[in-house]
Amino acid sequence: MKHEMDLKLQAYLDGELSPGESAEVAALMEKDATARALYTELQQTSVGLKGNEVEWRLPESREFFWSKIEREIQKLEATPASPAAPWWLAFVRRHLAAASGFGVATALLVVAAFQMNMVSFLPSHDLFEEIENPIGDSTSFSFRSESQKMTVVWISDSTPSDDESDSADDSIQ
Amino acid sequence: MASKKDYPSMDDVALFKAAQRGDMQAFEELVARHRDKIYARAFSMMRNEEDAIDLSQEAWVKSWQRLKQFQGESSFLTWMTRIVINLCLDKLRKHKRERAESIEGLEEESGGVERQMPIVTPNPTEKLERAELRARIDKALNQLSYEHRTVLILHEFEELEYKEIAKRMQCSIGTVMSRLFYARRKMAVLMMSYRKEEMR
Repeated sequence: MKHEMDLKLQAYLDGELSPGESAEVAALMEKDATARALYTELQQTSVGLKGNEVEWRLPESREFFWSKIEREIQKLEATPASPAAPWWLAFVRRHLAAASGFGVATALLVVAAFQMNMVSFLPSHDLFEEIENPIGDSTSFSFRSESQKMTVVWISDSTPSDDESDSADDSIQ
Repeated sequence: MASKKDYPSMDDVALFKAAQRGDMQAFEELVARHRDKIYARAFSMMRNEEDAIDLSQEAWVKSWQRLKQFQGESSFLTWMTRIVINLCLDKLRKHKRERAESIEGLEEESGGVERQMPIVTPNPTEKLERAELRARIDKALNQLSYEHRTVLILHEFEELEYKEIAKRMQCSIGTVMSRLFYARRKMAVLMMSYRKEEMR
């Protein structure tokens, strides 16, 4: 309440009050010495400031200062105005900007999920399990499951066993 | 053959109209005529020579671009001053965003120490030579927070009303009133302290 009255005193000084409020403040000042003293202080400060600002001078010569302004203006005027964008580009910008933001956010989430191994929400773990056979005609196969943290390698001898050779020979024979 | 124009003898309105038609020499004359005042306003707000030079230069370039928008509803100097003030306010807001919350800012919210300050009874500006008074005012302004200094400059020097200051500083009228009140109180106390220092 006190602060509100202080601000009203100041507004009275600055001529920012309605006639009704001005009368209220004038009445207060008549009976309240502290309000009068505060008003005087605010008024003296205001009067002391008005017209007493230091007159700073630009520390550059007329020619030098103007040359910088002129250069900037010439630079701006030399820049051709960009042609108006076609209607379809404006449409894409207006309506798909939000969608592209969503797309980027989704892509980031998927990448993060890969990084953190948080793949349980994906439909199948099989996507991250792979069978590889580095050399086409090799007889070694490896199976890796990311979800199980497991790699299995099958190694088989590609050369026919004696028995098999024998049987083959037999069949030929 | 067109006669050579005597730019220095032309008034602002004539120069301005010539500049609107693209006469760069007329614009240069306007710059030469008012460059100190525009720089002074930028310096009083920024308290930094480099920023003040850059912003006053930017204000002149902007005014060239907007010459056609000016309808002559105020003087050319008033219009130019408004441009540089707006540029300074933008820059100060940017500075404020960049720095962490300061103690000054916290004080402003709670009213700071100004709320408890005793009323300054003898007039601290009385019987001072004008140059001395100006120097003390400047020293005191330098010690205010940018919010308090700006509101004082806009009200006491630019003579803007509360509503206009609120619009320019992007705050409520209540905030303007509060800032102006504390700024004036702080100025009174600072001016008195300089006077006491002098008497010691």
